[in-house]
Amino acid sequence: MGRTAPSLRVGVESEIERLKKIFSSIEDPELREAAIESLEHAARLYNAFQRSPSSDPIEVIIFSLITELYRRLRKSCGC
Amino acid sequence: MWVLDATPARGKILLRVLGKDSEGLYDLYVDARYRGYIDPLIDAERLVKRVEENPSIEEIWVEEWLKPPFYREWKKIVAFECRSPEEIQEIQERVELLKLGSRVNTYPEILQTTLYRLRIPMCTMLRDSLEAAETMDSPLYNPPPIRWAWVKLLAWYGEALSPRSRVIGFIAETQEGSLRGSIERLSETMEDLKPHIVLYRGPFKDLVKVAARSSGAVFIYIQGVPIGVHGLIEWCRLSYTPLKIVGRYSIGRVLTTIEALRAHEKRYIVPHRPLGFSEPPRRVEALPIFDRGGYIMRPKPGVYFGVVQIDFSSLYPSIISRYNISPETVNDPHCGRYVQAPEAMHRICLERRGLVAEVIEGLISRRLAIKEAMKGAQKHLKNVLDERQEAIKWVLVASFGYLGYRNARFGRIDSYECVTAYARDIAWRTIDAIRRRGYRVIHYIVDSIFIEAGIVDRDEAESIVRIVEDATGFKARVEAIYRWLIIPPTAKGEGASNRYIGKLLEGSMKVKGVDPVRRDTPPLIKRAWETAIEELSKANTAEELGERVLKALDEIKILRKEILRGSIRLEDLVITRGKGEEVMQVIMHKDFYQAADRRGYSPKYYSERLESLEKLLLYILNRLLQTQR
Repeated sequence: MGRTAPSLRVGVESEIERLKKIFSSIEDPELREAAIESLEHAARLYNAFQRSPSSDPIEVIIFSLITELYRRLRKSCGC
Repeated sequence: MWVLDATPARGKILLRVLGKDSEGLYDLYVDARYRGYIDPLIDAERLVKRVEENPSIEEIWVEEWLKPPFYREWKKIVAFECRSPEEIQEIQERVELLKLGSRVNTYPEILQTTLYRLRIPMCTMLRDSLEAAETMDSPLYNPPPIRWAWVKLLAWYGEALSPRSRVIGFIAETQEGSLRGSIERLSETMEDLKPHIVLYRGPFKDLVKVAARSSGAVFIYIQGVPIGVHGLIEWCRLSYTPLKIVGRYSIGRVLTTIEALRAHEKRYIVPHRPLGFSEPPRRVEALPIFDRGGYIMRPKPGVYFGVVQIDFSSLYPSIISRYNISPETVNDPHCGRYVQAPEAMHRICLERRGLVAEVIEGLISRRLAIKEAMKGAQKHLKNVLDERQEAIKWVLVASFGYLGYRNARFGRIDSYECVTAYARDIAWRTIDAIRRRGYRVIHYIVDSIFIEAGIVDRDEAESIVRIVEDATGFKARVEAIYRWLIIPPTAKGEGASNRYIGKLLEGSMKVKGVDPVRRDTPPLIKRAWETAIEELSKANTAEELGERVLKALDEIKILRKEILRGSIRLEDLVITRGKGEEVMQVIMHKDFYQAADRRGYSPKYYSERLESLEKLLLYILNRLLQTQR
């Protein structure tokens, strides 16, 4: 039979790879490191996104970045 | 008596029969006419008139069968009988050449359909009149009292799996035990053993075939799944296929044969070529909706304590059976009463039983009956029954894939999509129900769920099973209770599906997807893993686990020294790679593959292969330390 559409996981992984290249050209080293590090967490929510039949990999990544930011903020403010 | 083999002959079928005394095999000829079918392009009666004068035809007539793809309309087709399968084929080809019709009902092979029509099942106890002496429906039958020999050929380093190996000996495994000898003595040994059947899998087929034939045995070359003799017998009975043919069948072919025989019974025309229910044209944005498999929730790597694994029993086949999924019941335009598959994908007709659903239902209940009988059975019978249920399990496993395979006789992508849609729906219902009860789901893969319950108690595990069953309505069972479960990280630091090491409540270990269970792992590395796993198996708590990891790391250090010193036996270095005819057995030599016959050695390669084990042990240690903090 053969699959005709890549799975969401493959889609998310290839988007992360693509964005990593872009993020690695950020000039500010501190920001670059933080951006790449957050990106590495970006696949975290893909399990949840599988419930929706037509998730866009970018949606998964953006939502994961937001939640990662939220987590970091909570950690830094200690709340 | 039992029929072990059958071959078509002119006007007859030659049967190889095992008598009641279970001594040697003898030949028995039974009268048989072979039947062919033509779907006419002209009026059926006119076609009969055009063909009936052919001297090969013994009899010809018109029958009414149901027409694919939806099997709702009756159609007249021409049936005729000849004295040999070759004559049938010749007439069908001629009719096709003259564009008068096309052949149908050619699946399964003519031998099986003839045996089915004559009601001569294989490997079944028969009376002298060739009537079955036991009911065919019951899975609890007397197996034929056959003597069998499983032959393995040996090279100097172990089993000769590559066509390039130099064969020096053999092992013949029989009911009584195993015999080993030099290759020159193979024929002699077979003559002494006098087996009724000889089974073999691997290269050098002819070598074993000649030896088997010289002892008068039926030679069975196993090409498909290596199941036991009783598994093969089960397949033979279900598919009316002789042992030697079923040995080279793929599981899908066994399934399709069973389905096709049922289709004949229901007067469904089996098309000569697959129906070609090709995938309907779809917009790109629709593909992610339709083209989805089962649900997989990837695990986070880590060390978990008190984990329960719950599996659904034959989930996909049960979905096929319960929701009546079959190529002719999905999106049937003539159907008035239907059910809508989840995600509003397809409509499944409920007006009549689907062919595939019906066959699968029969197989599921047959397997359940065998498993039930296994409970009180003694060891020998238990093993026989286990091989039988395992053989049916393989067919059930293939049933879902074949439903989506467009070249399968009874395959259709729409039905496949219905199954995965239901499976995903069940997965989500299961996960929601488990979470609502306060448990944490670690991993879900298609029909198996791992729950961090923090308990190692069977009663509580059973109560989780009830939660799953209540939420889904499908049968589930406790597959394992782990005292601890390690999910190793991949190179990217994520957890991989179905890759884990766990210690079971009973004390044994369960290992999936890591090096020791991979076929291309050399015995040396396999042993290193086994030693490490053995060490870990002594631990029950986090503290003990830490101690055992340190011990395992020490043992790896010793092994690495031995590798660098070159004091490892060559047999322990052989790597087996490839499949079928392409199997290659090699030893790593200075970073190149070398045929195992030419002895070479690369300490670097073997030392590096130990690294993945070492990394895993260090990872466990790290995680344990993090948890303590």
